[in-house]
Amino acid sequence: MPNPFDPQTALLAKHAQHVVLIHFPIALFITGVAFDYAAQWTKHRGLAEAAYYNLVLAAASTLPVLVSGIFAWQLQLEGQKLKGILLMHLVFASLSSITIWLVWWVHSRGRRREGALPSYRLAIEFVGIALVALTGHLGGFLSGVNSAG
Amino acid sequence: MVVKAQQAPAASMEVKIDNFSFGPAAITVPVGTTVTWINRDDIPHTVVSDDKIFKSKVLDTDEKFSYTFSKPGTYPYFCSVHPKMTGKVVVQ
Repeated sequence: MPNPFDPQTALLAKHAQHVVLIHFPIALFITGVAFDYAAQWTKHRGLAEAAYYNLVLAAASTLPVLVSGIFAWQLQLEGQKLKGILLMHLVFASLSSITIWLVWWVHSRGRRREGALPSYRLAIEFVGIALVALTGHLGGFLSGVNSAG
Repeated sequence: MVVKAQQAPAASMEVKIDNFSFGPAAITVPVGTTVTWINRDDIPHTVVSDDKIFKSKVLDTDEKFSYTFSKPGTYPYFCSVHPKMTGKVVVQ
C-alpha cells in the first residue's frame, strides 16, 4: 500500500497528475465567471477584480493540465489514435481551453483599454462553462468517477 | 492403413472486462491457450502486460483482444487507462 503522504508516490503516480491538476482550471474558471456575472449585476469593482484574477489563474492552470493530458495519451496509450469517449474528451478539452483563454483575453484587453468590458463576453463565458462541464463529465466517465454503481 | 493423429483443439479462455475490473482477475491455463479479453464496460480499457509482452489497443465497448500464451510463466497485466485494474494469467 503506497503512503499517500510520500511526495514520490504523488509525483510518480501513473498518469494521476492529470486527474489532480484538472480541478484547478475548472474551479478557477467557474469562480471567475461567477464573480464576473456578480460584478456585472452589482457594478462592484472589487468583484470584477476578483473575476479577472481568477480567470488569469484559470488560463494559466490549463497549461499543466494540457501537458499532463497529452503525456497520459502519449505515455500510457502510446499515442494511439483516439476514438469514442477519449477522442471526445480531447476535443472538448481543447475547445474548453481555447474558450478559457479567449475569456481571459477579452478581460485583459478591456482592462488595458480601461473601458467597459463587452457584454458579449458573458455569452462566451456561458459557453465556456458548458464546455468545461461537458469535458469534466467525459473525464469523470473515463476515470470511473461518473460510473454507475 | 494410416491413421492421422488428430490435433487437440487449441484451448481458449475468455476474460470479461466490466465495471472497472477483469473477471476472472486471475486465471491458470495450459501452454498454447489463447486468452481473449472482451470489454463489456461502457468505458474504454486496455490490456497491457507488466513487462509489455502483450499490449492491446484501446478497447471500446464489445471490442476484443486475444493473445496466445506459448511459454509457461506468470503474466501480470493491467489497464493502462486505469492502472488500478489488474489481472494475472498463470500459464502452466
